[in-house]
Amino acid sequence: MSDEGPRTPYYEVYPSRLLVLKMQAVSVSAKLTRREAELLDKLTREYGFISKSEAIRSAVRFYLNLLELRSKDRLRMLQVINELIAPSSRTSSELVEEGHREEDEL
Amino acid sequence: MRLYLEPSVLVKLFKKEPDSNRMIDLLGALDERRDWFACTSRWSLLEVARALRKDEKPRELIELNLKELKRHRISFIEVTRKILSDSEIVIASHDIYASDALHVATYSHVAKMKRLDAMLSNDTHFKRLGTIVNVLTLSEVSTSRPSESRDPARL
Repeated sequence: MSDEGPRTPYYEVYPSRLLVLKMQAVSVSAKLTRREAELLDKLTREYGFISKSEAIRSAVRFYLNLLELRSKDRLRMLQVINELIAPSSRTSSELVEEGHREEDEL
Repeated sequence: MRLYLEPSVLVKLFKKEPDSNRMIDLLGALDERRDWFACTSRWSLLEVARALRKDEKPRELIELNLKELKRHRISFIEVTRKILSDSEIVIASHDIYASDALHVATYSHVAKMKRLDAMLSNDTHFKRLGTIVNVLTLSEVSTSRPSESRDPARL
């Protein structure tokens, strides 16, 4: 690569299993629903991000870090997320069994 | 260990309940150890998705959970015409659900070729089919290496 010409700004990804300390920035556009955009606005203010872009970058880094965890750690984290988002007292056997009954009734 | 994974144990991965940590350890062993093998029917993905939906998990989380399942060293066996016709025979001779029959037929279809030791399930229905399918529960499977279980310091 040539050293001449304007340099693209660098962003640091915080130390993690991504093992990427510095990389060239690229722009990615994404469509959000109106509701998602409203929530993003609200959370950007509440968490004190300097802009919506900064909030999105932080969310992407968080997500990438989660997906880069070691197999068992990732499963444990996902298990916690499942329990926090939709806790329930029904067991996996009961849930699968209910599905079977539905199929047989059909 | 070479196992066929029945959906009730796969759903455990996304629930906090007895033996769910054992199931996480088992998947970890599958990913790390070449002497471990696991397969299931491709149909199991639908059963897992339905169970999570019944558990009122949101769409995004169900999709993420399914992607996670596909990321591990689990072979997904296609549902073929032969497996479907074998399932019909199982249903005709045993009082079991259609989905259970599909898993029994899939297990029987690949057991010899894949040198399976057992079907891993917490579903009591399969216990009734003891002569056709060798069923193990999570509490009957150990993921520790032989040297680990003999090390007194680890006891």
